[in-house]
Amino acid sequence: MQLWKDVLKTLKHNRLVVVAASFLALMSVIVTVGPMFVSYSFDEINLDATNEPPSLKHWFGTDPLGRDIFVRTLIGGRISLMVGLIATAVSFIIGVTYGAISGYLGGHVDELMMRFVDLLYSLPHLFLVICFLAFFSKDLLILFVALGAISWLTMARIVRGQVLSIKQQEYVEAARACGTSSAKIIVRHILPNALVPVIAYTTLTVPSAILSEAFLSFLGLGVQPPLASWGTLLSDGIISISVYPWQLICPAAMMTATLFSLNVLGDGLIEALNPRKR
Amino acid sequence: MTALIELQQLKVYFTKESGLIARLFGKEKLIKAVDNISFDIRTGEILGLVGESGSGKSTTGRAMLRLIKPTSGKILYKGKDLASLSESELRPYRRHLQIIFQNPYSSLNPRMTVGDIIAEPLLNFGAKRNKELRKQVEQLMEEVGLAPEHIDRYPHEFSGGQRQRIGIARALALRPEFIVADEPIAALDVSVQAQIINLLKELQKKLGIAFLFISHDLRAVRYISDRIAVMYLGKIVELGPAAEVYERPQHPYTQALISALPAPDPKARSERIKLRGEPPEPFFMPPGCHFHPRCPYAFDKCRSLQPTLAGKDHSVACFLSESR
Repeated sequence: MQLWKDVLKTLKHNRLVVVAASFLALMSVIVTVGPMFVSYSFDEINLDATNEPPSLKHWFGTDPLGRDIFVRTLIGGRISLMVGLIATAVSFIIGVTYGAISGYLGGHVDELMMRFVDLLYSLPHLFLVICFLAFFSKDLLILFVALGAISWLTMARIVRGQVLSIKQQEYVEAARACGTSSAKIIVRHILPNALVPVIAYTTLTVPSAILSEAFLSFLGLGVQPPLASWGTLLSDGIISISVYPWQLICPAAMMTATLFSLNVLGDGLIEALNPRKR
Repeated sequence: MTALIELQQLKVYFTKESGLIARLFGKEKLIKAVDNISFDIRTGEILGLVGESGSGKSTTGRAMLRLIKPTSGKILYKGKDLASLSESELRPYRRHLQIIFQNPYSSLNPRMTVGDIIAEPLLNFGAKRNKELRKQVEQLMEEVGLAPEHIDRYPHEFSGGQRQRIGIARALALRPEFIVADEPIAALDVSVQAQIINLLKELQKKLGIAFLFISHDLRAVRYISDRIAVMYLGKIVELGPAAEVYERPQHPYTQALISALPAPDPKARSERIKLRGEPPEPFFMPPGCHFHPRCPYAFDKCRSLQPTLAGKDHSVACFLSESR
């Protein structure tokens, strides 16, 4: 459809978006292949070089066990970005499908589907994840999916609300009158018009998934040491902030830059989706 | 001429949302938006449907296209009852029956280009997305008086009148036999109204499409229609040839409507029939003739019995004309 071509064109013209997108792409490449090119491994303990400040040898310094923080930040980024990505993808796919179907069908089906969401909503989220992890295993994939599975609820509510109001619009009636099928009406007419709050919420889901993971890791349920994530690096670094500030600042800077880029990308997308702003 | 589309005892009822207790005791409020109406539209004919807000005009139009499911009654299109078909069985008929909406702002998807909007019905009925389709869309745009080079623009870049032309092009794309025009001029400036009416009349002459022209503007209806139907509270109270109904209205309601029109000659003084009161609450219909509480000529019979539409070419639902 013409809309997506135009959205892409607008995004390409937005310099900030281009910078943010390139940064994210670069970041993904670095966290995937970067650790191979660093001469230390993330779990290599060196008790002769503990708490060293940043230098040419250790770019981000070392931690209390003498491990290289740079390589740990890269490994941590790998985990955190995956958490953010997979959890968001799960919440996006389930939430949008569920919300769109519930809102479009309406009536009793909608009532039933939304009461189920209310039921899940009333349970404490992180408690649910903890149960999940305790029940299955402390596998990382389970963690990703569990985090996604709790954040689709809000997404489903947002999408349903949007769909409910958009399906009353006359252009949806016009589409029905000219023989468009229900599936096509949802995909071509309803979802593109419901997308703005969805994208806004998605850009919020990524950091919140990363932070939830950090919290679970802090409780010993997420990433197990010696493996690291941005969350565990921050919680380790904050202990020694007054003495060795780089242990917090370096990973925090990487995380902030990544989350900022994600937000810029989301904002850019919202703007590009509004035909009036082009 | 034979009937292209015919309504037989069409009823569309809505239940007002009510609480559990009211539902348990069967005290649901029923709104009879369209209450037992029958009429037909012949091939290439324009039938004007007038009435005040809430009289059920739009509901009738939408039910004819099955955009609203009728409660009972038949919608015969070339003898086939559309009311009994399922949504998927209905789809092949959609290409012959189209609609033009009142509000040119909400009836166009803001995130689709004009080209995509007009192409949508064509794509639904077998067209492929290629150069030929684009050419066909450009021709349609020209047909309704839009510049074809604006094909990749978005609806918000157009004025109200132009947007209404986009809606008309979409309705014409499949060369339908019947179009419901649901107050197509009500949301437009007076100067633009005349252009759109003339465009519709022109297209109707050229393509021989039958129209249900819904409006509350009696003069627009008189100008464009072959026949006029007047609706009041879900019922048709008068139906006849446009000139007849306009010049010699039989039903007191039609008479009042016509007498309320401002005369083009400022010096002409006509006797204005003033109606008493307001139309009643839709779920507390008066017994007998629905119009009797406001009718200046109401007598005993009107308060207990409901008049039916009677008469051959020019039919009226009123006891007064029955006794005449």
